[in-house]
Amino acid sequence: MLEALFRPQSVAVVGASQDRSKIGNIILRNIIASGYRGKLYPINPRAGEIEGLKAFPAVSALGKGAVDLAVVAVPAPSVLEVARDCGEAGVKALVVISAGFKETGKEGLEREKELVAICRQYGMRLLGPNCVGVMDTHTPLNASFAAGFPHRGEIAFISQSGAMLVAILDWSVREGIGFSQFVSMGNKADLDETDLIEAAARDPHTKVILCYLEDIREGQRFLEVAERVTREKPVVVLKSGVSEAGAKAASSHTGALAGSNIAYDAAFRQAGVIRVTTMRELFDLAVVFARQPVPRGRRVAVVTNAGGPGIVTADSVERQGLEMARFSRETAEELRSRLPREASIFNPVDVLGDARVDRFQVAIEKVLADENVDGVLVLTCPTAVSDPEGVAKVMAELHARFPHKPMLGVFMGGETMAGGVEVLNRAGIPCFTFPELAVGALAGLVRYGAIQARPPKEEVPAYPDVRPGEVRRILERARQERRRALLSSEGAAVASAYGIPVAPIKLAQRAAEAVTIAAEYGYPVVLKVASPDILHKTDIGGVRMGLKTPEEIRQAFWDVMESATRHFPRANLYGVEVQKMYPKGVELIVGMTRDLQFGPLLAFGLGGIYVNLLKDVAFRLSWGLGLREVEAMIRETKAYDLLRGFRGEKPCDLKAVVDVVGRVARLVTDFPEIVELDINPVFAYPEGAVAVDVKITIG
Amino acid sequence: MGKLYFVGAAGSGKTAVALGLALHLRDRGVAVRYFKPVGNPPGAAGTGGDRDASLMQAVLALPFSPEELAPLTLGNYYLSTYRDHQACRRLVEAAYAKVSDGAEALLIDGAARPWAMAALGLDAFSLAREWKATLVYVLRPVSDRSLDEALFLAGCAREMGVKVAGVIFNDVPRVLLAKADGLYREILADRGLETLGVIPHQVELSAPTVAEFYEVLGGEILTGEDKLGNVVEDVLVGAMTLESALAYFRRSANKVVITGGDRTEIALAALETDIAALILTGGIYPDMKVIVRAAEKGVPVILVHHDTYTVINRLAEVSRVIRPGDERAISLAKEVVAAHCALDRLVSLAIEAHEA
Repeated sequence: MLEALFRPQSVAVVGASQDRSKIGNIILRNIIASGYRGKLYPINPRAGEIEGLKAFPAVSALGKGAVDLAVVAVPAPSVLEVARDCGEAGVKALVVISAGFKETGKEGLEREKELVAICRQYGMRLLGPNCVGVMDTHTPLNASFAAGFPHRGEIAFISQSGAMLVAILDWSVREGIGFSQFVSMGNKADLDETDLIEAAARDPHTKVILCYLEDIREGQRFLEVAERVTREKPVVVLKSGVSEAGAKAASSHTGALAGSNIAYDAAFRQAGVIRVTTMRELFDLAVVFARQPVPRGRRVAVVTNAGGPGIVTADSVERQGLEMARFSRETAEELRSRLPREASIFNPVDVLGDARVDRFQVAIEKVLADENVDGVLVLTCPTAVSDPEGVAKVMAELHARFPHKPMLGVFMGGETMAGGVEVLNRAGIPCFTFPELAVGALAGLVRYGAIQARPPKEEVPAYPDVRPGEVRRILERARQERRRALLSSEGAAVASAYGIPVAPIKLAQRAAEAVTIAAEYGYPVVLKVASPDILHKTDIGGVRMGLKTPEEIRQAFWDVMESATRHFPRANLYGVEVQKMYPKGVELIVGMTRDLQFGPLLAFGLGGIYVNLLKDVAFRLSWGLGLREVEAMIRETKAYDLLRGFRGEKPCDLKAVVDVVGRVARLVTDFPEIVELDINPVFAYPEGAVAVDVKITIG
Repeated sequence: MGKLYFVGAAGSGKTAVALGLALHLRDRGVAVRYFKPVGNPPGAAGTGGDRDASLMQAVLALPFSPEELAPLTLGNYYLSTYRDHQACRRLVEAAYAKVSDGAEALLIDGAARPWAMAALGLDAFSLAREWKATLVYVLRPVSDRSLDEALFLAGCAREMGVKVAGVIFNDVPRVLLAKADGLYREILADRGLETLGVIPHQVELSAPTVAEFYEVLGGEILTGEDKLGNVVEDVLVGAMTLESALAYFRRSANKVVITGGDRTEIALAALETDIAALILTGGIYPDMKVIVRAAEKGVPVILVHHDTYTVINRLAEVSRVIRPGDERAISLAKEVVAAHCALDRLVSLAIEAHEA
């Protein structure tokens, strides 16, 4: 897939120039310097020869099918004409370096739309516009204007920021980190992160896929593809724009509204994507994934020649969700017999400050051999007798003997460690200066192990008893009345049509009607003001509870109306809704907001008036959501502890709660026009659960 | 010739009712004319004279200029701009004589308030008494208190010797519909006033369009010039956190969102929802991405130099104006009068002269 982009048989550089300061010339020279072995054509209407190659006036002058990939670096107004020419000439992929598209305004937007239309018309794929270009070190091809070409390696890096890409490239060359592919996506007019992740997944030279993203263009497709890819190869994403300020910067950078950070978290988690928050982590993980095996479990052995750093490491291991391994008796006995009496033979293994290479050798070998150990961290501090290079060589030998267990080095120090670090680098053992980063990298490997081993995608429950026709009628009526917010009685009817048990509620437009409804339900009842414009009814005196007589109802009806108009003089009042009073259960909230990128984002947590204070909420996308995952979501919250029966209370009906969440997921999947939904509270009882207040907004 | 004088507060829908009735009169072969002694000045972006007069002139194809149909303009300093108060009065009377000449029914439209130009003796009640016009009070009720306004002013008019036919409730919110037709009607009847219509709230007739906002606020249209006809049903201020913005904006449709020009993310959130126009304040030219997104979605963006607070204050002046080319609103005005008013009664009031 995308062969023409990464492994073209022939490349044309449109806008190639004899002037060495021009982008077109730099790209041409980059392609030559990368050792590209296919055919290469400079395209320029005037020049006869550029960088020793014969130039052609247009791609079409080469004949149909002569060019697989065209790299375009001409001024924006000429790009459309070039694209048409390329299309006529049967070019398969375009990389448009030129800026002057959507990022510049309305005119640019129109130009970009047309560029995409031309590419679609001719079946060309398009990278960019407004990008740095594309590189593949195995082809090899450097079709970019970046300075330099990365070492050959197994990491694919896909970046939404061109500047980020060139900076990483420069850094990686010095660090000796190799890459398989480097892609700058630019405006993502056609090819986006999902296409490129899919391509990297199929690239035999790529082991790890790294992304720097500011937004995701097609959430659903991304989820589908990433869920599949992450079962084969790790995908690590640095998604920026997390903070309010960052989101602002990202939105002005890409022109897309950053979807909610919570939705991104849920999406990455459900698709098996590892999300990192710093660039350091991004590349630490990349290196570790490229060079070390995925461990079977989370038990870590630490071998050190210094007590303090060993303890710091042990702390970090626990904090980052790993475990300090407990050695078998045999291992402990071997270590006891072969290390000095003062050495600590329990984890962390302290071979002491006067240790030479032999003690490291014994300790590392024994812990690697222990079946209770899944991975090893080796710490060295500079001492009078330490021999970092010697330790590194031992590590290299042992890593070769135990290739299925990851081993990482922490060589704490500067100049004295350089030789050892060099040896480890050559042996493919990632080395860090401080323990936390090494533990973080190991934790990443462990996490990926769990991701890879996760059970296959769950079945989404079917719920054959749902009644979409009823829901459609209610939504249509609201739309006819030009309302976006449903009344509580309508919300309850919608939920009920999807099999969610609700506390009965009806609209009364006059006080007398309210009395009739109350008689039907039986006293006591609740009265709530009915208005799509009033969100927080309790706050404005719009709710009256525990009404026991017709007279109380009549009085409450007008009290509620007065209150409502006093607070919201222009609110559209429908009257009052009468609801049957239910006994209080464990108060839960089940909510949904439709994320712009990923669709329905469900929330579950502790309900009632403290929702905003306690923030005891777990989130999942409705995408691919099965009952196992719903239960996992519920278990994440403190509400779960309440449901299980806190301090001798009777446990609640967990199955009924799972059912409510599952049915809400189905409802919002069936009706894309439902953009917000909140059931607060849902009362959970030892038997069953009931939705008391259902708020729905339609788009 | 009969004369009906429509009086009511600004935005009560006097003109729409007069328009609807005028079309029915014309259908019945009555030579109907329209006259508005005291017109409105144009808004910040507007030019020309009174828009109601222009509308009626165009729809009824009246052989008079809008300046003849609405001879005076109610400026804030009208006592100074019309230095010669006697000339003022002569101007109105001349126009009135010319427009009413040969008419079988004359519909007179009131100013923004019935007492406008009382200093010159040109308030609605004085003129109605002088011209022996029958007064119809158009009331847009928002609560029980609104009824007081109609009762009190009708009482004043009678004290001054004006014949008052009754009240038309217009743009009635759902919750008051039953009440207007019941309790309000009874109270009016007790005072000898007829309920001549109860017209429910109609978004298409009462909601202003983006053009009306632009006329009041002025400013620069950055994109979406062709979408100024979008109907505006709600006004929201984008001053919340980004996190809550989307849910907030989603709750209302066909809205104008007012926010600072530098609040890129709020503007983008608003553009993801059903929006009629974006008004950016503070004179801060927005990020290019906002304009691009708005252009993609076909949403007008208006950049104004006032701050958000000032803009909100000025919104009180925005109300729906039916424009001559707005066939849908014009025919709706006619339908509504037939469906919800005592049409025959209004017609006979309009053509029968009286000697009050």
